[in-house]
Amino acid sequence: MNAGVKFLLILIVSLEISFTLNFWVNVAIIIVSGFYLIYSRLSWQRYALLLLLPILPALGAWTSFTMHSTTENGEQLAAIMITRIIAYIWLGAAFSFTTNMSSFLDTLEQKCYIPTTFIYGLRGALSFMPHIRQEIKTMQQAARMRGIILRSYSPQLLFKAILISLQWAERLSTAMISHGFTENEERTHFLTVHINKRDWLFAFCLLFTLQMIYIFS
Amino acid sequence: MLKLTKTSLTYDDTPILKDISIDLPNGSFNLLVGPSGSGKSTLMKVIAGMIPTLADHVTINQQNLAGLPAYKRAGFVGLLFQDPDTQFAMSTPWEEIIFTLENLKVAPSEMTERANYALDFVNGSQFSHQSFDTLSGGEKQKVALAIMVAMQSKVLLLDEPFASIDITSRQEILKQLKKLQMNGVTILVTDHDYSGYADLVDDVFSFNQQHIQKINNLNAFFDQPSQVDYQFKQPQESQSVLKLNQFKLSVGSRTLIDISFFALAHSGITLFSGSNGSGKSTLFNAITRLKPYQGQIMYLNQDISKIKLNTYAKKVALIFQSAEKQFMKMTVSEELALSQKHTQHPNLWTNEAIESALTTLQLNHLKDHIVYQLSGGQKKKLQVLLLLIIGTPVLLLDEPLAGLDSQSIITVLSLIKQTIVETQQRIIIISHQLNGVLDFIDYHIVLQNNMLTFTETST
Repeated sequence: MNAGVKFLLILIVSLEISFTLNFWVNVAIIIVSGFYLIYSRLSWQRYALLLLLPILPALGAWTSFTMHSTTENGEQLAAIMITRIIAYIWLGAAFSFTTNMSSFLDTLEQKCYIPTTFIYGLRGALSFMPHIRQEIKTMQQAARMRGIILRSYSPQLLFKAILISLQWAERLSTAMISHGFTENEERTHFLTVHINKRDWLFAFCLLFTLQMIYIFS
Repeated sequence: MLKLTKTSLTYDDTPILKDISIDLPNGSFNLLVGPSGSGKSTLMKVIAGMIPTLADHVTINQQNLAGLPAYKRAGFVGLLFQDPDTQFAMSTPWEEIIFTLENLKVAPSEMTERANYALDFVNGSQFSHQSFDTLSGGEKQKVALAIMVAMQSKVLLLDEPFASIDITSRQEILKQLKKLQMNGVTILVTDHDYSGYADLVDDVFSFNQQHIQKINNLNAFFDQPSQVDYQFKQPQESQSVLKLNQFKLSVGSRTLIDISFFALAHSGITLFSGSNGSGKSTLFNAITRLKPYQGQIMYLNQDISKIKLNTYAKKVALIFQSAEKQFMKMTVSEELALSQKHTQHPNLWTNEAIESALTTLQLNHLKDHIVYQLSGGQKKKLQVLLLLIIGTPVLLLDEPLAGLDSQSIITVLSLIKQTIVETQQRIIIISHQLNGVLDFIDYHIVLQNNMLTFTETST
């Protein structure tokens, strides 16, 4: 499914369940996103994470609604809250664990007309992420050689990190401009993003089914 | 014709450019020389139209650069930066070229051909889909040049493009530049090393004290004494303090070093050379425990992975390629005070000694300056001094001379030499820049074919 359509679908669904209290809608979402996650063939660590992650918040919701609830239907509410938590986590995973960020940004740029400055800022930030850990290690080692121990909570380390990010941002924008990037100017696209009609139809069907469950349950 | 007319620039009350005019005919090859920190990089940025307030002083083929949006400017002038790591926004060469072509609004159907042509031109097709992290400095500079080729800029500005790359890549790139010039591209290069330019250039400009001057007698300029042949000693293994055992170092799937035994870090100054991307910096990173390796590194018969990081950092220190990584304070004098506080040779590094070192390095007038605002060369000189004051028994220097003019190189190396006579420190230097360096060298390690060897010659 196209990343943009998927994003929109997940956004609508998560907004909807935050305003409604319906156990079966939540369960339906859990089943559909669960199937999608299995179909996407993630690593077992990720599956384990998806199973473990909801435990603590679910326990919290259960105890607070059953033990401290002032209404009659505390257990019913607790069941809705727990399924809602799992639904949120799995919905989020159905987007973030399965989506190629680059093609998502392509869609945002070409189909949603989000300003290119924003898109390429994000692209730059994403490419910087993997370097952060090594950068911190290097900063700490460089400081040790000057006789200073920078702990991970030390303000000096934070200062150096901010400095490095600022320089990196400056560098990135100079690099982009020198390669012809012009803010909010139209660009051509090597790969044109096409959204299949099938994707729209599929998304619409899912949303429709969800409304039916909401109405009839 | 590129014309820069009567341009002046002052930054923080410091004049950088004073009434500078320069004319470069189409299809000419020009060299710009001048001491480090003199403002050559700023001048290049001005000519590239990257300083908006001065863009109206630049015209290329009667087109004034003022108000020209970046995507149109790229067709007129391209700037290649000194630091290979600062020029890319995407993660692979191919993506970067496509990004550039998209910016220039090239039709998608033409992109593949134009990108392939540019990559072939610099011989870069084989690494076009590799991440920039795995490319060497020379390979990155080739990609940067390929992008200029893809942009079809009429004027190419190259700011110290060879500062940290090896001789082979340098010669290759120079040859390709000549080819571009033959096709009518105007070229302006800044460089501290004049070798290889005599047969290439039409004009040489010297930039000094905010003024620019065309050099009239090129023969005299290039006629410098040829290099003397150097002979280095073979060190004694027992005198070394670092030993590599069954040592293997790789980046991704590429093996850089694979050696059963090697002893290094002898008293004196060791030059460490090898072509670009061969793994010199990576070895330094392994020795300072910034990069994982296989096998053992021993410091005085102790496995370094068993020494506490804080203790080890007092034994073996590295002068990073990027000086700012090692700055801890704000001003020059604060930095010096910090190093003085942690020095292992307090008797040597008295206030007077530091003062005199500052004077020889021409940093004495900058004590209240913010370290991050110094010029590239000044930062480098300060960083070397700061680590020299600390006085670790072993000091590794990764390209400490990149971007320094020949006078500064001699001053820095003399200071190191004088210091280690007193401190018995062991110095290992990676440097591509050999002019003026060889006089100071005691031993020479070469990294070639994944092997480390001591050689007696300078090449």
